[in-house]
Amino acid sequence: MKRKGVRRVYITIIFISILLLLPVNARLKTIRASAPKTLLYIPSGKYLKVVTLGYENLLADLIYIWSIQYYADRRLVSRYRYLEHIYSIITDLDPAYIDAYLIGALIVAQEGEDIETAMRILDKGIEANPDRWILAVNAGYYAWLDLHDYARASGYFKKASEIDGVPPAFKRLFAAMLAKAGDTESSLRFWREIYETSEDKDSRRIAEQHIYKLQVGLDIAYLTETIRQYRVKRGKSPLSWEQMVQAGLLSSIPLNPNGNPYLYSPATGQVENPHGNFF
Amino acid sequence: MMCKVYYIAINTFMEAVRDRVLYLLLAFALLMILSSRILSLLTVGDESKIIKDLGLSSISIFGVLIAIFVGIGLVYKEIEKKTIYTIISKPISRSQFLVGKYLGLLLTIFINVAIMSAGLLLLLFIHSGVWELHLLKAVLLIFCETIVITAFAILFSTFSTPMLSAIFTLSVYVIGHITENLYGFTHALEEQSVRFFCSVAYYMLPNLQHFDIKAEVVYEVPIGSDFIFYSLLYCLLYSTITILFANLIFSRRDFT
Repeated sequence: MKRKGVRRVYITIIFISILLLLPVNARLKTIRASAPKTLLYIPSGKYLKVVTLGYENLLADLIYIWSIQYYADRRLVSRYRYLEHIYSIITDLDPAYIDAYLIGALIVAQEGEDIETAMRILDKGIEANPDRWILAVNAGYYAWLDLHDYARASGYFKKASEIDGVPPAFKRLFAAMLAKAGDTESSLRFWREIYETSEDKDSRRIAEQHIYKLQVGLDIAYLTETIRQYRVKRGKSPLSWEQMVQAGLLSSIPLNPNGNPYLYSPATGQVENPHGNFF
Repeated sequence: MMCKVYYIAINTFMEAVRDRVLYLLLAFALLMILSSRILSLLTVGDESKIIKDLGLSSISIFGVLIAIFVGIGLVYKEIEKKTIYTIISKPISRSQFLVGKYLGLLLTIFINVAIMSAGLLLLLFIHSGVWELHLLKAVLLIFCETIVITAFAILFSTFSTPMLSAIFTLSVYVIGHITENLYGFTHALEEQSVRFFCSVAYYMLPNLQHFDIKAEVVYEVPIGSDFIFYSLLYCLLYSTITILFANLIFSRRDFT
């Protein structure tokens, strides 16, 4: 009888404890959720590598997966503060982890709106993996579309275009960036190279269009400058190309890449391409 | 002579196969390999990299754990149960007994590593439809690492208790993975005597990093056959030296 009583007491205590456990657990969860999550201590990747005992890639994977969950949590404020450091740890542990460079840069650029940090992450990746064009292409896109720094973008696309296996489209992007950065002659040279070396029809056709456009731009700039020289020399505008040839400023009547003469208006002093479209 | 070693090895294998710890570790390893698929779903990018990294790491970690936790008790159990008296009274030398025990345990580990590798390859095949057999190079060297660790486990079990042997062998495993840094110290330190000490320690202690090609295999970086050859040679030499030491200690023990 006594033993039965003791057992009942035990069962009652267990039952009450379970009942208490549920709200306590829920309360703890609420407190934890409302507390600001901060990264208290983040060691350096170089030192971490020593203590991983040969499992640095596994640790890099785990930190990478954790970082994706962490940065996907929109409730956390100022969570991008240590992003570069976190991705630096991942890539110190596993320098060939291309996804980590790309996703780290993507998060900080798109969510954190910090393009320069994104570029630094990608720069580290490019340095560690000079044979992976995807990193240089991504950096080129950030420089082009977010920073509008065409010269910098062209540098990245040039780097990408020199790596084996890069799709022809990125070689074309390099040439396009050069033109946007104002380096028309380099751009023209590169488009010609693409035209001569490309085996696919599309690349050649696109290159041909750009060569035409850039050549016309260069020709018009040259002719406008020549007309200005004529005006300085003679004190008046030329009436026709023939007058320019007679003055020794042109060797012949200037033709566009299609073999048609450029149009010159003496009234406005403007030089135009005879066709509105390239072809 | 080889016949006696063979029988002891087979007997050790049968004994190890009956050990519950072995199945527990193997089950955990297979669970870890399978969970890599779940973990890979949380990533953004190359999922198979996560499966390969976690899979190879599981084979390595659990291979070493099996080597330690089964290896440390092999000799000690015989002494504790006093079966050693029966064995040494038979026409069999102590070195034959020890080598037989060692080879038996290696056979057990080999089968376990093979099961874990088959699990990983099958998982990758289900995931990507390709048999990623190049991973076997890393598995081969992981097995080499366990050969060296098993030799140490046997060495320590000849003169100490299982608990201490486990601590010692784990220490060797940790040291084996940081000896590479000792080599770095020899260049960074100015004090001549400390540099000398670091150099000696570097060459004397096992360098288990020689058996770590997990990253190269995952990224499909070409690994020269000469590297594999020298790693196998290093494993052979180091484990032979360790087992000979174990023999020296074991032959001096008094069982009368």
